Amino acid sequence: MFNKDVLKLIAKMLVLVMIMGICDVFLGVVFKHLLKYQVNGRFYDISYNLDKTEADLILIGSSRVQNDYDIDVFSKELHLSTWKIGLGGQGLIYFRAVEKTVIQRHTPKLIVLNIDPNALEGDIEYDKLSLLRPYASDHLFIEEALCSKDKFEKYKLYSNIYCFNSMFYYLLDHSIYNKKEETKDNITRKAFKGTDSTLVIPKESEVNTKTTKATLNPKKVEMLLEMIDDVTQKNIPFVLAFAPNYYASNPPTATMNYVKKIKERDNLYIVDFSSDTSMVEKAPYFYNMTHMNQEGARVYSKRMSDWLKLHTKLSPIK
Amino acid sequence: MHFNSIQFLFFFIIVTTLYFNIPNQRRWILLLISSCYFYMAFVPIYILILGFTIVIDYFAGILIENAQGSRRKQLLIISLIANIGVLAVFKYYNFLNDNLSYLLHGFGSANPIPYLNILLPIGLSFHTFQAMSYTIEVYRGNQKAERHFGIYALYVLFYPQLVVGPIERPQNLLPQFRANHKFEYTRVVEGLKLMFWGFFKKLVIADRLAIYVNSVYNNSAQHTGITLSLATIFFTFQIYCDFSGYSDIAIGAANVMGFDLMTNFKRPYLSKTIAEFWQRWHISLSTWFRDYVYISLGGSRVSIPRWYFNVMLIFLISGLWHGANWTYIIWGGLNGFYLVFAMATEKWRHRLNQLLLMHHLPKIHSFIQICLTFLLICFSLVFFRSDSLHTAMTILKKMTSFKGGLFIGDKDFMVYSIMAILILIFVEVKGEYFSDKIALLHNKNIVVRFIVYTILMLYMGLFGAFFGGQFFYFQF
Repeated sequence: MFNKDVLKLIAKMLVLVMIMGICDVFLGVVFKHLLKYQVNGRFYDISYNLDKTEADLILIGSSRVQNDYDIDVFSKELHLSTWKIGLGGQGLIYFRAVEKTVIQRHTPKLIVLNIDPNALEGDIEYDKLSLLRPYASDHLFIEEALCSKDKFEKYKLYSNIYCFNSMFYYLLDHSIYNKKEETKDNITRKAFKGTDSTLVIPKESEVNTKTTKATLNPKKVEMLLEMIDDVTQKNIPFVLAFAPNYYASNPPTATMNYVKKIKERDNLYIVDFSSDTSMVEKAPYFYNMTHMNQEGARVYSKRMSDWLKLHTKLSPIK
Repeated sequence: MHFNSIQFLFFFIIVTTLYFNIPNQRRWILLLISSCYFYMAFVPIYILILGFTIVIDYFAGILIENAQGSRRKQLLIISLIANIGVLAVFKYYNFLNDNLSYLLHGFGSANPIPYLNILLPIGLSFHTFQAMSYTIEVYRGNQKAERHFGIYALYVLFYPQLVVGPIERPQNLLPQFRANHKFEYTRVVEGLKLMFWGFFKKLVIADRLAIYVNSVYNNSAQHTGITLSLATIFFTFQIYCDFSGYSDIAIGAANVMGFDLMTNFKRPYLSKTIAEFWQRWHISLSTWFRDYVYISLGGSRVSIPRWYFNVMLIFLISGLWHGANWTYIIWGGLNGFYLVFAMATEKWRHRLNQLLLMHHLPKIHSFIQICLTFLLICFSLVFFRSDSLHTAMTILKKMTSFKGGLFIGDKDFMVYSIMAILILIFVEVKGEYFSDKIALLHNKNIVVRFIVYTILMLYMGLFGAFFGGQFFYFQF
């Protein structure tokens, strides 16, 4: 079966695999060092979210949370330390993994999950989870989320090169080139990523007014229900919120219809600001069709804080 | 099964190992079973469609060979109708129906014909054309009808080129299924190197560029002309690396087992003219159209207007072959127009070049020609990438104005994308002009070779886009 040429090929392949293995170990040490010494930026934020945040109010969500929620307003109105662990483009699988990791070590007084209007529809955003790969080895729930992608993922995660794939630029940028350290103040400032530009209402022809009949993805529904169980069973008030869009979702999406019908239970609150007439179709509050600007974020955060004061059992609220 | 999947890695190792360890006369069985498995990993039921055309063409080949006179032609036509019929039902039925609805709507009536809710079988256009080339060659007397049903089925189903080509000719591929392929170290290594370069092009360049291209083209209304122009240039590189990457993996995988498949790409973006581009791009399809349609129409041995008509027709059919959408037809028509325009203005352009003293500056002239050809291809690909004619026209309109800024997206992704394009340009220019001067993967020194392998593998691991994106041409 194995003639001389076959053995020669196998031997060379093995040498190559060994070289790659050594490089993998070496690069792993370098990258983990860089990750540990991030002084600001994307990975600093994720590390802080997973391992350090001890805020009373935690806001979870995608770019809508980054843009539409002004943590200064929440802190001032509710007298609670506030932190948001949102990340643009992410979906429920990311939120659930991060939420599980955070509440495992810390019990906040309130968690708000901002739900995108189509959050429970479409495919699960496995690819966007790649940012969490470097944390898989130290965080069980992150590893679980990553491995739910496919049966080979847990083996791929053994490779440091794979875990740090496509992360070279940011790791270097925020540890070697851009060394300006975060202070507690500017962490807070930086976490609010709102913009001060105002929406220029596009021409009618450029607005996608088509409403597609999307159906719910049962796996995403299951994730949301699990998240609700996780949080409420720990006696943490959990709010599911819909932030405003420039145009109200009319008719409501399948996600919105489903969330509003979730069975009532202790510590669960659902609030929909997506059709709030004081905000929708008010161009000065938005910078694009789905995200608010700083002014909009201030107004929305105030409305949300008032609602939270009125409806949830927060303590201590002065 | 996707080439860029872990499953394929195991599949390839197992099939290749078994292939070299069973007697030659039994290898076709292994290849046939593994090819069926490979195809059925997508949508299992669609193997029946392939089975249908295989049975029709197998018997058509034998009957054509045995028949005399006009009966041969009748049998060929029956076989072609069966093949094109399958293609028409699965690929063009809904397109034709949509257009009929649009037309009837103009007259105020509704279309009574129902819409078919079916998925297009993966690679249908490719294996249909390969099957058709068999019956045509038997009809022309260039190929003997294959009597061994298993070998014929394998000709259509051979897994490396089943889904996205190269579209092989029976004279090249069929005899190779009977040849005794021994394990040849050099051939195996060359095949593996080609596969590796194919994966590199797919993962590091095509899939990386696809991130920016998709984010811009999927929201084209919200982007500026300069952003859309950059996305179009990125798409031009993406589509090349995606498709030629697949071809390289296919040719390499076949090569490892001892098979020679035809070259499908020869550095097309270094072409100086559109005519040259089409001799270097998707060669197996271009030559298919040349051999079976263009020459049958009289080729260039007809009057000049008829010649231009033949060229335009070939490109319009080629556009339709790619997809059932007006965007593809316009893309094909545009390329046909480029060629006809080039043919019609050849003398005039020659005089203009002399006036501009270009014959004294051959290198600069070549560079300008390459850039112009590249830009013309970019322009046509706006139609290829857009979902609809309306979107394509809106994009082109925006591209003519340079108002607004450039959307960068994720800074790191943009950096990786530009690095990927620079690597491709380096490799292509090296291959075209300095192939014998700089040897990297083929360096005689094993240490240099291993350093290059390691760097490329590390680069692929660190900067490849492992999102499991399927190959663009799968949809055809």
